Amino acid sequence: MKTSLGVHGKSRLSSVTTAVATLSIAGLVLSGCSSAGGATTSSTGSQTDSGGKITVWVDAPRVPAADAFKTAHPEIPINIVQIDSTVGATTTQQRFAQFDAAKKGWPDAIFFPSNDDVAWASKTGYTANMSTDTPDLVAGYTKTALASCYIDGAYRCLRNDAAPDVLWYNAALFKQWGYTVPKTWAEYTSLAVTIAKDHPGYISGFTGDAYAPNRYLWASDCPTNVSVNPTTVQINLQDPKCTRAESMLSTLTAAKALSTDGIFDADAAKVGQKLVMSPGAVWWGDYLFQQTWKLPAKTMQASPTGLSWDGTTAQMGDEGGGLWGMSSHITGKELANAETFMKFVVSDPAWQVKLSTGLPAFTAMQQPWLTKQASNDFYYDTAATLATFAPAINTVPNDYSYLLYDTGGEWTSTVAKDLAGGKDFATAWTDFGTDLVAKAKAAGYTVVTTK
Amino acid sequence: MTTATTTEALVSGRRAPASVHRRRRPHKEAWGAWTLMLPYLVLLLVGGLVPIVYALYTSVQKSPTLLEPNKTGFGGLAAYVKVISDFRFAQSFKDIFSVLVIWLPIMIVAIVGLALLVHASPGRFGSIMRFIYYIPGALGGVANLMLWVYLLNPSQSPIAGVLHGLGFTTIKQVVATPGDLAVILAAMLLLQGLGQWVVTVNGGLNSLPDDVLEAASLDGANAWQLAWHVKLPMIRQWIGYAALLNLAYGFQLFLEPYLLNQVAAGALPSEYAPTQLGYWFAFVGSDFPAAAAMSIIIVIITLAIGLVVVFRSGLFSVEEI
Amino acid sequence: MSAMTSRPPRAPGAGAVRRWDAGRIARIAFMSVVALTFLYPLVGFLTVALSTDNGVAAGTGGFLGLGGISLAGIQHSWGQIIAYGGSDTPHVYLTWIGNTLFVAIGGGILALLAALPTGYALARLRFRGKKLILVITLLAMVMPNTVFVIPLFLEVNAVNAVGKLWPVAVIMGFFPFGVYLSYIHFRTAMPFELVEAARIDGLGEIAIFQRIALPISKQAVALVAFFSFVANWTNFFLPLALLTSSFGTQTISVGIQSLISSSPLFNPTTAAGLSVKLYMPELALATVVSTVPLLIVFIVAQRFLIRGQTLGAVKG
Repeated sequence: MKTSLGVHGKSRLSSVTTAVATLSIAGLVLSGCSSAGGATTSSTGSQTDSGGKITVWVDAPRVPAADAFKTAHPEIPINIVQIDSTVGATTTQQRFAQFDAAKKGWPDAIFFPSNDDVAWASKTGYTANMSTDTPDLVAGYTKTALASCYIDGAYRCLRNDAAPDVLWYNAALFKQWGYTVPKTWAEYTSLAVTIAKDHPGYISGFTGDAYAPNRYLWASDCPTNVSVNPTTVQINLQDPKCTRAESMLSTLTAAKALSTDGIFDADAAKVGQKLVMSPGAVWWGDYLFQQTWKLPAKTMQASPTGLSWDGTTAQMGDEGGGLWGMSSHITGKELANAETFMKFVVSDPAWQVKLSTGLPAFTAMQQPWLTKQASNDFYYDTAATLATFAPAINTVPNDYSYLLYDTGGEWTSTVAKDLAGGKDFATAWTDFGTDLVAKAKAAGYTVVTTK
Repeated sequence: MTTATTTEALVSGRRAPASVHRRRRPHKEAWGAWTLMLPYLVLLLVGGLVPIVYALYTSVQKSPTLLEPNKTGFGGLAAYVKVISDFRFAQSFKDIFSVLVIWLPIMIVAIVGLALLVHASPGRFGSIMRFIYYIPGALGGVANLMLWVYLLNPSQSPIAGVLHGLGFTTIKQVVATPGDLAVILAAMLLLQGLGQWVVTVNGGLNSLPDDVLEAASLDGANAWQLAWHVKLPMIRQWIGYAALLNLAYGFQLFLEPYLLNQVAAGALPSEYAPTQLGYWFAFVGSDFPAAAAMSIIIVIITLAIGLVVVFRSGLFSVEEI
Repeated sequence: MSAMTSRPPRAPGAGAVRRWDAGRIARIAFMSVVALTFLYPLVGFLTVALSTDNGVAAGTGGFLGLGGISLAGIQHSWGQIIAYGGSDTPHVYLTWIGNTLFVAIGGGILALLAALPTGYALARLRFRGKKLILVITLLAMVMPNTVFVIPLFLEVNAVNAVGKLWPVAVIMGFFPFGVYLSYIHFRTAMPFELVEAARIDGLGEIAIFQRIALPISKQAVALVAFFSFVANWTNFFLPLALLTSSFGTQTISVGIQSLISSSPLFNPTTAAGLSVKLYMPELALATVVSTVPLLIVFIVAQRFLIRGQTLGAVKG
């Protein structure tokens, strides 16, 4: 009891050593007789058949789709699991990694919480090859509309909605203030700066969400997500196609023309009331403006021309447009029912026309959906706005792939964070570039700067 | 060490001299002991040994990625090398230490200070205070996060004035401004953990022998002197104990930065704390060996610091039975 | 029994003359200020839980929003919480509470069954390997949760029980801190003479534990039960890892996280598709209700915590 560091200390240390030694020996014994092998994945194992019951995973906004399926197909037993689609949540990925290790437990179909998820889901062998399983459904899309699902030589998912960007503007304000609608990115930039100067507090875009790089960098065809081959990617923020977007964003942020909030932020509804114009996905109209921000009717409008870099061809980004995946681990009746589910969610009017807020990616559903939207006369010129939606699909550069690193996530944790924290855009841009390359390498990719 | 000796004598004075018992019925005793411990040993195996052994085993496998999923087999220390040379490794430890440096000293001082104050307050006032100090502890984990989402949101926070005064208008700004996160996490840990420890250390103080305290009072010590010169040295090991377990707890910080990132719309680094980096390796990188290596590195560092605390404070003296 | 309770709870510092000196005033003032600092945000949070969505969003209600409390708000919020889960898993919030009670109590009982005999054996029996068990127990107390997620999942999967509640309770039953508490308790409260006398009376080792040690372990029972219940109730990692498959099998901590993730507060666009809308009052109410069991447990266990001979004797 005299001191705790003397004799006792030494014998305590030796018990620690003994404990560690015991563990190590046990470890060796276990590893010697373990047949579990590494916990790594990619093997598809054998396919199973539940006898018909299917389990589908959907995020909160897609629960109505699953419910509608249940109503339409009471004969198919279905288990609907609601998953977390909050930005930055990785619980879905965690569960899939566990299922892969256990070689069972996967859902039969899933709405990926983030489009990037399709990358790991196809690398791990979860996603079925839709080209062979449901060729008729694949044939129902245009090639551009389903481009995000074309991974390493096959269609690995089906697209819920098309999400090309258009140029949204507040036509009422434009009229009142006497602005003309920009047709090029340069005009957009200079008008945004003017608006910020003439009407402080009014904004012309958002930089704070994970879709912002899609909105600006993808539109510029900046190589952040170019798949050269399955293990090599091209990232080059020094490419002229990147630097033109960089200098544009630098000008816009310096002029305080953009909100540092993201479109999904809780505060965005307030900021959104001051939105004069912004490139944004077609689903912004219904989903953001009408349902979430509750902007007044008869104000917002989509420009028919989009924005171009060269003055002739419009080139816009693409924000999301959810992806449905189906399991490759099933067979028989379970597979048949899962296919029925996939068919329903991508091509049945009960979901795609009646309930879905986005422009259907499935070609045959587009016109009925547009007709239904027209009955709800929300836009400044509803017919003209709706007419821009489907053509916008063809303004999206098509060499962008969803990959194992999360470009949107890197953007929010560097650019969005730096700008919200008051740093300048140059710092934010450097941080973004460094992190993006580091993350791509950490995911195992070889990173090249030219193709 | 005189006080400790006194306590020892008082607390276990009924103990007969050890020599009388030694080696009387060793076999029967040992058999009885192992029988009694059987349920625990089973749980220890299932909940502790198998997982840690599995983690050790996994950590020496080859380190795969989603692009090279078939890299399996014995890999030596490759996973450890990969983890340590990762670009986020050093930063994540810097991050967590910046939280611990703020939080632990305040935590320990607050635990000891409040426990002594409660101890010096007999009667109803003391027990009401103890209950109030405990209440935030009931909001553990996710519940604590909800509380902080409310506190940090400038649009509804009861400290909105302070937040506006600092120039914040959105919760994202509050948590994403450089340097804020460490302070916020430290405050979250403090509010959540303090109560239970105040109650626990207060329980320890309540069991100090009366005669020593009374003797000191009779010698003319006032309340402050009593607390500082008599009570504090007597609970020295307690402080070490609190430091050890809190250190281990703080080092495992995961939930708070993970969920705050969601609240802040992804504006925080998703691999802020070392445990988050381990989580990234396991579930985003599909690299279980690297995740296991990361966990073991965290364990080793926790234990290294923990052992220093243990030996310094003379805790857990297991020999003297 | 007498050994433990012979010392009545005492008024600390009773020897000092009680008067309103500067030190006493300073102490009471300081403690009250700290208490108010703790209570201020909590009361505000509770107020939010009891108010209406619109009232909270508008910021009316005056000081701490106290004026915004309304019965209608509580009824509406509670209705929304109960409605969460849809037709597949109706009133899933209550299911979560039930599940959590099951694993927290089940885990607590297992922890008691394991900790008490082990604590006794470690404290009062002599055998080889004792130090090893103690050290491993101490190591397990500081082990990060994340180490265990994957191996535990694979273990539970090996017995085909992923998504079931009982494996969670079993693993929660592994509570090394409880073993440590019991160990300290028996070292303090049970003199060797008692063991020796029982042996002379011809009792076996197990019988000694059952007839002599157990009856005087009330305090250890209370402490182990309290600490394990609190730890189990707030545990996030284990349920997250092991209850993967369905909404209806989650516990409250994971459940509240899914409430947060489907709240338009953090992702306004999710509001578009949901029939149940969870804003701050609903989330706060769900949170507050989920902490009630912890407060009850504290009040029940309080007298054991306060007396704290067991805890105080950690020094050995």
